[in-house]
Amino acid sequence: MKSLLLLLILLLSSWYTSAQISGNVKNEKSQNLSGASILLKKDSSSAIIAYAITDASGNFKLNIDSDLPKFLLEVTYIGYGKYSEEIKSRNQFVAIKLEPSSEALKEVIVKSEILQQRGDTLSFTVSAFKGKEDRVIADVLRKIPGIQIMPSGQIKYQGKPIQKYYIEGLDLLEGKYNLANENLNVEAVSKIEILENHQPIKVLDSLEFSDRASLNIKLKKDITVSGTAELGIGATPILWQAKATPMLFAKKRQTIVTYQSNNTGKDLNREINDFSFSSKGYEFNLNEENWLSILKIAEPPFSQERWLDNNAHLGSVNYLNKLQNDIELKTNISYLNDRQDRIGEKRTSFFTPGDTVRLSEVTSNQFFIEKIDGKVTLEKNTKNDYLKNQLEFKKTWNLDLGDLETTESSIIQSNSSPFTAIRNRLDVIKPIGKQLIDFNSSIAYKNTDQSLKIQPGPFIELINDSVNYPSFEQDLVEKQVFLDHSAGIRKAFGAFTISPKIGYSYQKRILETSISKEDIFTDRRFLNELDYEDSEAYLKNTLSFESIDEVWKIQLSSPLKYKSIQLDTFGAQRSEINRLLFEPQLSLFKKISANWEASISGGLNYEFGDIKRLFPGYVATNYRNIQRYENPILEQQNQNYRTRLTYRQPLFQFFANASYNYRRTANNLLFTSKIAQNGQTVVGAIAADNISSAHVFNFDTSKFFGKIQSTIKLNSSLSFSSQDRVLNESKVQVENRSVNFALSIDSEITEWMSINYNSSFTFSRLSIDAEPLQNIKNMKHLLATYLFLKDNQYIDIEVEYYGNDFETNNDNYFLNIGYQYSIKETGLDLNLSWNNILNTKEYVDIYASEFSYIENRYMLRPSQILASVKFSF
Amino acid sequence: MLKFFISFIICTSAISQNIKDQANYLAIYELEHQPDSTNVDSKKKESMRLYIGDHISMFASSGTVIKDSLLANTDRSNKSIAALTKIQSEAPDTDFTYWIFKNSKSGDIKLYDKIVKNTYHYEEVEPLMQWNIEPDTKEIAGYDVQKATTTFRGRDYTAWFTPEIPISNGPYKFSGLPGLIIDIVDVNNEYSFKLKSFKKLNPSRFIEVPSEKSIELSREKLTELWDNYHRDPFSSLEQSGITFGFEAGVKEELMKNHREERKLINNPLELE
Repeated sequence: MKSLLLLLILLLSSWYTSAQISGNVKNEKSQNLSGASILLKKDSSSAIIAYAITDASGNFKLNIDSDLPKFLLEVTYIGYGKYSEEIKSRNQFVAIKLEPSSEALKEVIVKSEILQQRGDTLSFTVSAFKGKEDRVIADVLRKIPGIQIMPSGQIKYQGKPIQKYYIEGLDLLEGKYNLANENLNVEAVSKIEILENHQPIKVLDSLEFSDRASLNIKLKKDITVSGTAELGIGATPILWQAKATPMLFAKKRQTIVTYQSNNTGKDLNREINDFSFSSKGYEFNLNEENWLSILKIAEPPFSQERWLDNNAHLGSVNYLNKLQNDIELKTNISYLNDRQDRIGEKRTSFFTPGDTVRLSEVTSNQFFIEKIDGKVTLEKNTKNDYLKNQLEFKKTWNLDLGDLETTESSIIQSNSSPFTAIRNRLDVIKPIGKQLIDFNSSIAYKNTDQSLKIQPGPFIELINDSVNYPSFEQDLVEKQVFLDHSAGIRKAFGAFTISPKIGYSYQKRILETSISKEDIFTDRRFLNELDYEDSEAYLKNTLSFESIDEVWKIQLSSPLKYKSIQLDTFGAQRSEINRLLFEPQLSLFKKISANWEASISGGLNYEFGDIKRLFPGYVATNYRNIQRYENPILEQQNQNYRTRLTYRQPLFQFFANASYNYRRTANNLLFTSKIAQNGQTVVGAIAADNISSAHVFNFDTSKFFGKIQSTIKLNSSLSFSSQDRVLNESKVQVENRSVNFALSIDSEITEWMSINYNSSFTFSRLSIDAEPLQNIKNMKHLLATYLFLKDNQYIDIEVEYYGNDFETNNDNYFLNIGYQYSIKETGLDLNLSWNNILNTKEYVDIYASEFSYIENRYMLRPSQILASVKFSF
Repeated sequence: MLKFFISFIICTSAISQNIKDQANYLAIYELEHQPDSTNVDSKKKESMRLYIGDHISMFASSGTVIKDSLLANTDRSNKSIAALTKIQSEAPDTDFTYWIFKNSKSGDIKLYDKIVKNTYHYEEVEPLMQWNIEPDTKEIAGYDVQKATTTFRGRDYTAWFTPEIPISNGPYKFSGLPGLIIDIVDVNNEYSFKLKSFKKLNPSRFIEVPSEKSIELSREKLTELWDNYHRDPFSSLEQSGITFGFEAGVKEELMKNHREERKLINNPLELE
């Protein structure tokens, strides 16, 4: 019954819509038109009742769902005239032919598109953003849209680090803007300006685009005085950390001064982090070169605050003066004074053919560090001219004292190493025609006068006919002069780019050394007077090619150098090298498919005469190492090859890559070591061609597991190196093999908790003449948990394990907790940290060196709690 | 915050293209959308473009189109950071990075999107929606339009189309009416496309379908990949060879901020 009713309804409804119009639409060439609109209307001005669109073969089907007796059928298609026909309401087939028409469609522009404008200066009034709890300018900056301040103090605008931090348009601190940002009282500031796409070098403005923004802080008054202070205390023993930063700003003058001090192991140099971008051109570093040293123990691989026993003071003065003709003069000077105590033990096993020398040294070292460094900058930055001249200087007075106990004797060492360095850098940019030419010039001078005193006198066989003597002194003076001038341009030709650079560099080093016992000079074997000159004219050029579809990338650099080295000893010429060098480097990259990428590169380069391997008289570098090189200038030819294959399967969030590196070095010198039973070593070199090589294999893979919200990464590497040495007068081949596996898991348990786990296993082994020695096993497990309690509270818990296995088994466990709380209402920040909760006394580490295994024991800071408070004035 | 940085990385490698059809007409729509379903004030506007060819049409945000054409016209050898960032800043910002290609001949719709370095696409078959023609007519922007309604993936829409432009197309994946869609809005007013301009292109523009290097997947899988990417963009970037050096805790804090930002983006056009 029911089904009968249904059938009736179906019949009725099919009768009601029985009028079906089907048809076909063609153009004037009788080609089927797909996508034509078929409209059914009551009349030409009424609404559409039914419609159809023609299919790929121009056919359509239309059901009439109306009781009207007749309709208007319209057919439209772009580029064709409208077809209309009156039809009756009945089943039928219509064949339609459209005629082309040039009648244009009605166009409309309601409103132009919304496109954003950028490159503006945005200005923010500080009072609009300032809350009750805000004290320093950084607090307000954080609230400005697009601004982000990183924990290191670095400021980012729209995700990119800012370029310049101006105060009233002046760049007083260069990259060290932290000092102003964290200390300038917000009450003194009227406006913050963000200069988008700011090109600080005005000559480059509109020529070289900048993606970075700069900040300008506008002050309320013409003359402003401001600052902040921070204080922290803790136990045990009594700990302190203190900081005060006053500042003064006037229209043409700006000054910021800071004083900081702590004994909590915090590195004060980090307080004046420099976020400036490094300039182009070759850099000659101003770092000390320590020829001589007391015996030291390698530093543990974790945070300094857990092992460094210090007492540090840092002062910094920054001053800017605006001169006439758009010239700015800036002076930045800082002074650091630190005393560090380091206690530990070093156990060394030297492997020589047929013998093993074992040595245990318990050290108690004190380092007195005193350092002053500064720079004076003169800058002219106008539309037609860019000139920046920076004069930097550094002076240190370091004194290291060490008491050392071996199984047989106790030794007192002291090393003083005053050091002076000056460098001047000039950068000029000149537009010549449409090209910009960069000129860079750098001149530097370094001087060190080191003295290592040892009691009782070491190297008795060599120095005192095997008779003990009370005191020994090694003196060493080194002077260095360096200069480099270059000019370069950059040009593109279609898919190729070239960037040639031409320049000249020159380096002169003078070394004078002497050994005395009981203040009396020894003989000429222990004296050096060296004059080393190295000059180089170079033409560097890099040619790059990139195919349009990015499948291929090729880069060829082909520097051509003419190098000339001159070495004199005691005023007489000893050796000379004049050489034309070609050091090509080629790299190829190919994207094979969506999943695979491959790259391969190779290169050749040369190295010559390290002055540390050239002195013919003995120099004692520490109490048990003495060196002398009566050999020709070291010449090395290096060949490097690298290949890499990457596989990505993004759908399964799986990634893997494998790489292989090979380095081959041909040396003209073979290094010799003679190790005595007491560990005293005489180092030298003989002329003998030899080859050293290294192979490194890497395999990394990672996969994301969505269900457990975790990424698991697995890294492995295998390295193998081999070199020839002369050990105790017999030539041996020393091989070093090391295997490493690392696993890491990053997991977000919930939105307020995340966990990181890292572990690694390393196995290393030395072989001498293919005779393997014992394996060293190192292990590491680190587990860090982060808990975000509320917006203003944060806890981190770290559990660490370091273990190693050599002759004994060593386990090191650590636990640290940190807690941060910001009290917004009062503007106080409270920080609580508890380091080394388990009160682990020492850290033991074992590693393989050239032909020895070294075990280090480092005394750590005890378990300690530190609370600190920060406020501004 | 993170978005700017990441979009920069993405921008450095344009989708490589091959030519398929020529667009004779361009329709520009203003899209108003509400990224946070709980907050009416979160509404944002941007401009979207529909290029219409004889058989293939292409729909993408103006930001994406402009960026891509700037990249394509940049001297490839001079792809310096400066040149790329200039492009980044000249093109308008966009929240929509997809490209939709509708092919009237084969009746398929392909959506392409790019996550970090990989291009993905999925294919769907028309019709994706059934339209109900209503008798209501009115005039919008000088065109006589008629009302039509439909339901598409969790939202009910009211559309106004004009038979004066006999192009069966519209913004996003919408099509199938006997005339161009001039205005379409969902009943909650969370997504609305309004025609702002329609003109003939002279000369015509190439419609470029991304190359075969794109990875084909399902619509659900693409959503999943975007979710995974937003959950931890750093590991996605690291896996494509971009490395970061963070101090302890910095990454966690960045991730927390990123997740909070993502919480406010919870209202996709396709709800199911």
